[in-house]
Amino acid sequence: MDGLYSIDGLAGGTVSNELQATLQAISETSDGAQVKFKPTVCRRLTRWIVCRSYTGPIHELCHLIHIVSQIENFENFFWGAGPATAGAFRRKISDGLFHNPAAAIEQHPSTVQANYFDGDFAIAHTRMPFLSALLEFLVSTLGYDVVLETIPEITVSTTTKAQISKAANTLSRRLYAYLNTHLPAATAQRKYRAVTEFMASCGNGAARADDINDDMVLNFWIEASTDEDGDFKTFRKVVRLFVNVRDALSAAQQQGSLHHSLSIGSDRENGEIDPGSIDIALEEIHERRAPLDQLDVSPANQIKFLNKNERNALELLIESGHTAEILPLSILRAEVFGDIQAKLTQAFRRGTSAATAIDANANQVINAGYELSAKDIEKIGANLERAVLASFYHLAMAGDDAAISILLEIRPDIDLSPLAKIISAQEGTADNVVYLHAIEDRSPALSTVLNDRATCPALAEFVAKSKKAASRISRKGFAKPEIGSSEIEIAGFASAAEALINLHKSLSRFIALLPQIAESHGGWDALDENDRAVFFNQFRQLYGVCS
Amino acid sequence: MTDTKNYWMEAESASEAIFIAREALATLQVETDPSTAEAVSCFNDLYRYATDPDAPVKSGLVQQLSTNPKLRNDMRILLERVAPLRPISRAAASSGSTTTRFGTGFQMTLRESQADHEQLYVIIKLQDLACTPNTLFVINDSEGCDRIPLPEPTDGTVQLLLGSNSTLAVSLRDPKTDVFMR
Repeated sequence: MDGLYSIDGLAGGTVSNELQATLQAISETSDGAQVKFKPTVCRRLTRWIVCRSYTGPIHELCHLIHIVSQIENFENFFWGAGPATAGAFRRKISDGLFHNPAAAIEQHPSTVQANYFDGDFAIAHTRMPFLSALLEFLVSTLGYDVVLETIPEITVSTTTKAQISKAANTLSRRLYAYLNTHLPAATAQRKYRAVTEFMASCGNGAARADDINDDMVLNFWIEASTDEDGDFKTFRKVVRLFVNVRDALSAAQQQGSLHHSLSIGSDRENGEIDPGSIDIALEEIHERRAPLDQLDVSPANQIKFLNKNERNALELLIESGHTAEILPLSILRAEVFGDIQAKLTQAFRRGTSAATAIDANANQVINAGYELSAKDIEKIGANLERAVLASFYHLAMAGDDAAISILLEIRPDIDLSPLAKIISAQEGTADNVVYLHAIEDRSPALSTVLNDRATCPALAEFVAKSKKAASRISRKGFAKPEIGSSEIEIAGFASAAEALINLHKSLSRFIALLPQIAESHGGWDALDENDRAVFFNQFRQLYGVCS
Repeated sequence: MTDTKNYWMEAESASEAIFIAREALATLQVETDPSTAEAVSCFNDLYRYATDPDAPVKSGLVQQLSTNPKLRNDMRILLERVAPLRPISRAAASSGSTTTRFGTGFQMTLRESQADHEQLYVIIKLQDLACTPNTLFVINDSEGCDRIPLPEPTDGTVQLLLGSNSTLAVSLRDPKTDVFMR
């Protein structure tokens, strides 16, 4: 292990665990009062690392180190008191320039510029939180001593752009070497090639995203689950694998049609693969998890929107994005038979023989098949809808604007025109935005307006429905309507609103597909019977039990 | 702009590169199990430990400073950059009951108490009366890193009384120990 602040003994002891622990520690870094880096900054940092697209940012970072070294100790700039925000960094630079007016630095409204002998370089203030997180990563992995010995030339006023580039290249090379050890790609490459070769053998010789379907996923698992390396043993992992392969093929195909210079499929001769384009492809995929992560972050985590089982059931579906709608049966199979496989593994660990464990689970599953699983998913959907409605109610009663966003998202068709009579529009502001506020003080007025049955019956009906939903939830953070929510709970509802709506939308789209799955397979019972035979036969082969 | 190697030269296709990055991302997104993973600190934790005596210390950091030589070395380098009072020379091997070490703007003497041989005085004489450190850092390769709050100086002198056999006294007697104040 050569990471600086990691120590031996992490679970599994694999190299990626060390990197993973460092990134997690960075995401939990505190400025003393709150989390230092926003989740979006941490997600971007992780993405740039896995995409190996850090060369440009490291170059920018070296310019920023030069800039701040002209006005103060660079450690104080990056690690001193205060949050890692664009505004905070801008203020630090302004203060530094006030005390060091002779520095060859120009502060502009949205950028700071270094003037070198051989040119200039500007950095947006909005980039600084990310660059700060990148420096934290470099120092925490390569070492403070390594970073310090690389940068002495760029901290002096007489440095040149060429020297900045030289230092940036040295840091990039060191990070490259670190990641080669800590983020190896061989296993992923082997898995990708196993899937695309299987796809090619099933089709016309080419691996295309559109060829992937539920049958292919199941057939691959049947063929590959007994593979010696054990990469494809669990059905749940194979589903994730196909989702990932499909995402990768689709993204490359999309980029290929946008930029003909980028190679796709197995054609590697058309041009070099740009790390930046991989980052773009990954961004959408990466953001899928964001709603689940958002619910874990304060203040949203003050409210129990999902329990552990609901969250586990949603994870694969949400991470799969729209591919969940392409492979809905695979997702469902992972829920039903993936869970059984996990139970088998647990039983083996407890010392139960494979034959006994498989027989016990085969008997149990007769009463717990797809229909029950579909009902569970529908129940989670209903709970989520109730949570959205309850959030609306609590926010509305507290006069929080986020209530309006929820209303417009889940009832876009509602006729709010009668409200024009009692809502005034303020004068337009300098940024040409008109803010709508009730005539009276906002907080009481919003709840009054929402409950005004005479003026807007449709809205009042919606409020009554949301109140009923609020009264039916007894989870942590959901106060009874007559009691009202605390300030922190209101902040939690507001920060979770967008995530809840997105989760609800994804789940609703999936739930809408369930009847079609049953119908196209002759009903849930027929599908149960067929898949039970397939999966348990495979489990017996996989775990060495003669049928 | 750069002459660094493009990692993805080894990938057979853009889709393969995206897949590899996606798999790495999925691995890194899995939260570490706090019951099995030991604490990992960032440089931010080290910086706060070195510069803010009122800040809560990150759980496990002190332990890591005693067991992780790289981390301890970085602490030493950091203090050399941010502590106004730092060593010029390491202490000479103790000759009898007194040990003295010199630093930028201070002189630290360890003197056995004549009244009680089980006690040791640490006398820090400050050259600049305007400089009033409030924290003492003691870094030793076998004992780790100690952070000790200092009392207000009186006439430019800070005085501490330690047990002769305390960990801190043992560290301070060791000529290889470095001391910093800020």
